[in-house]
Amino acid sequence: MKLSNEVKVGLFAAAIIIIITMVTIRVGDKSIISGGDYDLMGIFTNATGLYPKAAVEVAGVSIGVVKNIGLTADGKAQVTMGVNRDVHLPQNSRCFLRTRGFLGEAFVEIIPGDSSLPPLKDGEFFTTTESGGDINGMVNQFNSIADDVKEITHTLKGWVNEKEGGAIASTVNNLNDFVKVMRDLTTKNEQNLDRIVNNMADLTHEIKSMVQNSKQDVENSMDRIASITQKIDEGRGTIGKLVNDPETAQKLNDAVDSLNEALGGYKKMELGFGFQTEYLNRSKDFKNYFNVSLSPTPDESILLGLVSDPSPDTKREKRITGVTVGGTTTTVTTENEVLQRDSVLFSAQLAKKFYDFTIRGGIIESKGGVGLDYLKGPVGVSFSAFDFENKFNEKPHLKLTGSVNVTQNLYLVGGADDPLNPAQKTDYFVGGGFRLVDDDIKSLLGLSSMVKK
Amino acid sequence: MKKWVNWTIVWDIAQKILIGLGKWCRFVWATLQWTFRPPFRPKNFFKQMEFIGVQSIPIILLTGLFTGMVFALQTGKTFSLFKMQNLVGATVGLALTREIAPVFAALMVTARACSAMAAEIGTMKVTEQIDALHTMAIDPIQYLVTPRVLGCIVMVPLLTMLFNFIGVIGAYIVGTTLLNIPSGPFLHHLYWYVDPQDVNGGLIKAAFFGFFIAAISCYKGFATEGGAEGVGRATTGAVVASSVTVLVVDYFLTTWILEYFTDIYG
Repeated sequence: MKLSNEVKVGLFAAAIIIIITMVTIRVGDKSIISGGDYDLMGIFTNATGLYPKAAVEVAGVSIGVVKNIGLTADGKAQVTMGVNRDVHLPQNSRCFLRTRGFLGEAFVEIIPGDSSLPPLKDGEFFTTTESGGDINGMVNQFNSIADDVKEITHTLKGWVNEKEGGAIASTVNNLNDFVKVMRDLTTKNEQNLDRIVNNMADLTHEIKSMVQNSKQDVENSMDRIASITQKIDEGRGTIGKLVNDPETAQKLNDAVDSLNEALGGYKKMELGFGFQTEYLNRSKDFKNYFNVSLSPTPDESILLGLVSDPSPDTKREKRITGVTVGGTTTTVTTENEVLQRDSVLFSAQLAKKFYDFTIRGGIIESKGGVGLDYLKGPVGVSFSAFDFENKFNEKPHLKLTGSVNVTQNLYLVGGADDPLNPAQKTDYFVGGGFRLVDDDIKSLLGLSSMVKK
Repeated sequence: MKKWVNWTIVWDIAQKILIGLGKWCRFVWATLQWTFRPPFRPKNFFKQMEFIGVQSIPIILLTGLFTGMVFALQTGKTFSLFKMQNLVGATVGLALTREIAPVFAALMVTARACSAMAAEIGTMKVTEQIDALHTMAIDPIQYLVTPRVLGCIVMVPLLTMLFNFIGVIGAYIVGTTLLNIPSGPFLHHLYWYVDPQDVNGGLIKAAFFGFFIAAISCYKGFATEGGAEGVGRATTGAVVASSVTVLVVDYFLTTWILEYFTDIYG
């Protein structure tokens, strides 16, 4: 059959038109919105990765496409979505930006709200929107989670690992041993255990019968107690009057007040006495202190003290003597070092307390000096520096003392004395002391006044 | 002093190019004029369409099928690095409709039909048949060129569409059989990402290509001089100029089409 050119061309053109029609139907078929659509808007803070034609889904089912992405006046992304006309979304539906796959194909997910509310209409906005995190943030989060998991597993591994002394492993081992010992013990002492159990049974039985027998006595006692308390409550008898009479209470108050007045003078000035002795390791001798403290206010005080020092710093004397021989006067200078043991030194300091610290200053062991104390609970640290005179290449006398209160009155001390002294090595010491503070003294004075009477 | 540039020669070459361009423009203008002047010769027109379009079907089918297949194979290999094989269909579809099909169809028509046009008209020129037409009061441009140019303008888009179709079929075959891409996602992404605008843009380009290749080839035929050798030169020149023009014009057309017919993400 010979076809004319016209027919051939016509056939070809017809075939191509069919193909074009087919393709157009296929690719033009955004089937989701082919039956007509309406626009919904969502405003997102960040629309990274979202492009026109991205899917709009509800529960994983496509219901529309992203039509346009614009910018609002305040710099947010306004996404216009074409949604199938047959899909109705309630007014409080929420709108999320999600990404799918590791390359982050973005799409919009809508979670429908309360179905009783009227549906969103063309051109309306979603009230609740949320921009999805980008893939980097997710990856970072995964990284940190993985790190945590790794750390946990590592720790667990350490615990379980027997060779490295893991806690769990050793616990299990200990338990093993313990159970073994228990088993040995029980098998060895089976008879004893039996006896103990029998005794226990007897004992409980006896207690039971005892309680049953004494039931009457107990009840009687309870009755009596009840009657006594009733009497007291009703104001009968001496105790009852005492408890129930308001006059008694008033009298007691008065008595306490007058006592306060009598003690008023001492109340203002707190007085303390103390004695402390230290054994000096190097000097192999005791150093004794007697202290008096006067505190006009709780944070200020005057400290007075007498110290017997077995190894005081050497005193140097420089004596210039003029010797006249045959009309010529020669000056002779002699220097003496005098060490006077068992000399009594005195201290007089002013102290001021700040929180747990006390700053002291004045005369310490007959020389000018300063000090700092720190007291926290029963433990105290004290530092003194005095005798700053350095005429003969002497260093200041330092003393570092630590103290622990054993009771309210007794305490122990220990420390280092004179660490900078070039003439001798640091003198370490231990010792103890006791102190009497205000209340104790009051009771002592009270005692003496009672004795006087 | 020695002249580094022989300005006379440069001027000669420039002049030749300009003269060629001017002559071509006059030629195109004449063609356009004669298109709308009677007598119309539908028989001639259909003969050319049959020659350009229908007879090119086999070669378009062959090249289209294999282009689609090889393209699917290559993109599939790359996309499998990201586990994105499902997008092979969409990628091949977009590439074919926007670029590959119009260009390849135009090149195929150039190679098959336009070389023939240049040779035929060139031979008529050197054997003075064109002059004979003149003596018979038939305008050779109207008689020879207009049907060919119109035929190309109509047929190249049709062949492009055929190329699209067969290319996607080739991609589908390779994708589903060799790359083991499930056909559902393959087709879904293809339909989802390829838009009518993509196809339309490609067809518009194809029509422009058709016009250019036919106009250039016919002009080369008319400009033939110097016997059989001249005919050979004219044919070669027609194919080369047409192919280069297709590729160059493609760039500009793509830019304009992207600008006006589709949005950039579409």
